[in-house]
Amino acid sequence: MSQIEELKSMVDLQHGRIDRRIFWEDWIYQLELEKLFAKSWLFVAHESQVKNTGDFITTYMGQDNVIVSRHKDGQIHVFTNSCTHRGNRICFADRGQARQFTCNYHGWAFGTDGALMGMHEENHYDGFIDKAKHGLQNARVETYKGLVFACFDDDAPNLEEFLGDFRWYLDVILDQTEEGTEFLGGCIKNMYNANWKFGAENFVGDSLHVGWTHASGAKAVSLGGEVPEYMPVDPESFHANANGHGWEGGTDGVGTLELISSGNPRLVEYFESEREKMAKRLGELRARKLYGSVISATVFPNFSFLPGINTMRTWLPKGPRQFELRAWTMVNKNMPDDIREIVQNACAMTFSPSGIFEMDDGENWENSTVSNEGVVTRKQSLHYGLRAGTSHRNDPELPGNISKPMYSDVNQLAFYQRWMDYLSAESWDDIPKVR
Amino acid sequence: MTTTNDTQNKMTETEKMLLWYRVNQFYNQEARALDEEDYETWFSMLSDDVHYWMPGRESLFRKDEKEETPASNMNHYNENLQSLQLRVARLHSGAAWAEDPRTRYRHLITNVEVEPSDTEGEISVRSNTLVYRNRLEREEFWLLAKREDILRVTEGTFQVAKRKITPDFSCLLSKNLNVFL
Repeated sequence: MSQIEELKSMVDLQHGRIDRRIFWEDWIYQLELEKLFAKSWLFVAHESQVKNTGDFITTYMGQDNVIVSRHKDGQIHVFTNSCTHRGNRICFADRGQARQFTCNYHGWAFGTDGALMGMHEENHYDGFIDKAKHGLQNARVETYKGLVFACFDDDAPNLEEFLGDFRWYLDVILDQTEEGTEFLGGCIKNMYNANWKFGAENFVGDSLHVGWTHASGAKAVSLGGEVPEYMPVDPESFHANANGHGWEGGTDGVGTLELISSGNPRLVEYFESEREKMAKRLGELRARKLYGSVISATVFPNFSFLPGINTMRTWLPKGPRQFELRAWTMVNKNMPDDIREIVQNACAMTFSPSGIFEMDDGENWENSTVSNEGVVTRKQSLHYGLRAGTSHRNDPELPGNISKPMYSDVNQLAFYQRWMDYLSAESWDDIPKVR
Repeated sequence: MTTTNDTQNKMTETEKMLLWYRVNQFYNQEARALDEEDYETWFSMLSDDVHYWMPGRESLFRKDEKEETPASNMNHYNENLQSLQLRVARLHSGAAWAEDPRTRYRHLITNVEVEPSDTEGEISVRSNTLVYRNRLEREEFWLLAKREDILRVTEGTFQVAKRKITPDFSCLLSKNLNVFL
């Protein structure tokens, strides 16, 4: 059996079975880096993080460290953070302001567009180097309503096509107001000894873990009272997926807002007062029923968010059994200060390493990964069969592939289908443009 | 008016040693409460208006370093007494599966420096903390941080009125932060 054939046998969409080796094997991880992370569009920043000329952040595309930088031409550039001379990293800060990036080793200096500008003792290089050919490798950069994505593959379809029908869902958080969104300052980072896909698949569709894994958090926010029905079995709740991206959740319009309010009515009141304006931009369904509900979502492959709590995060792979989570809080630019503060504190309280919800996720993901060190255990395939095969594309209101209610593995399977599309492809012709 | 500053300036070396000793005793008791998950005792050691703050940290060029505020940052903690109690309610919910078996905690408090505060009845204390966590088979995590406290002197003991915890990590090297520092 060829490697690709072996790989293809590991995801059984029809029966909803997943082979545990995809969470463990080094060779599969190397394929992910080569065929997924080096080819797919990846979230790298929010425009607000690189607002002014010279603003930069550093992040990862797969395991490639990159600089995201606002050049003097006004464009955002994304390029590899590794000197073209000896390969040393050229920028060691997480974010900041720079006129150029100068390598510590021999003083090679690169512009905020990645071009090689010069070096220490440059006269010695006369006749020995073509500087124009020694810039840093730039990725393609495109934005969608404030979110900056980059892609290392020239032949990949454009970002709009990559996001496809999922833009309709992204707009629920990105397009509520004319002024748009921004990230609050700072970034929370932490490590998990787990496969990165457990984070991504959890946010893409795992409605069912909420009531169980997070029972402790739900009981806490009720402050001794009855645990509210944050996750009622809402028959209209749904899984929606498009091109491997997924959105799962309810339609009550308030579940998340109440969950993060801790009894303070201000947040819910604020959004109720905004709904009419939101509805003019997004329509009644998205403004009143989707926004505010308990929802999680993943943009394939590794960018996830929670509408309402507005934690935005990337699951950065560090090997098959380790990933780094980087998380930010997003707000609407026109939000008053007290609402910003509520949202910011809600992120820390709920979904951050110290958060009363997120705290319980890590142990699950780490042990779902490490269990596979056992060779007998690793051979047992996993059940991903809940409502397998039930999605359809003809919902009158919701774009993409839809399955109701949300207690389902439909989005997870769509995520792994897309994952398999990339990993098993010989060329872009093998990857369906729309899934 | 007599300020704390004046008061402390007038203190004899012996009185300063006694104050330092009492603060250390207070921190040792607090560390024991946290080690033993005795949060009722811990809450009694915090003032009703406590501000408990732990900003996230990033690696920045020196020229880009700025004094942070809770609003300018992503925070691990930005808490008042009520929100701290809410966090503890998770642990006491009977449904915190990931805390059973329990995490083994050990808090060490060192480098205690007592300084005058601008407000009467309060003292300013700096300390370092080393927190050890061990869990299940082989999980082991060390956390180091600076603590800057305002302690309020009440009825012969103290209450923490403000605490800023500055961690020495930028990326937390573990799956969660299930501990107070």
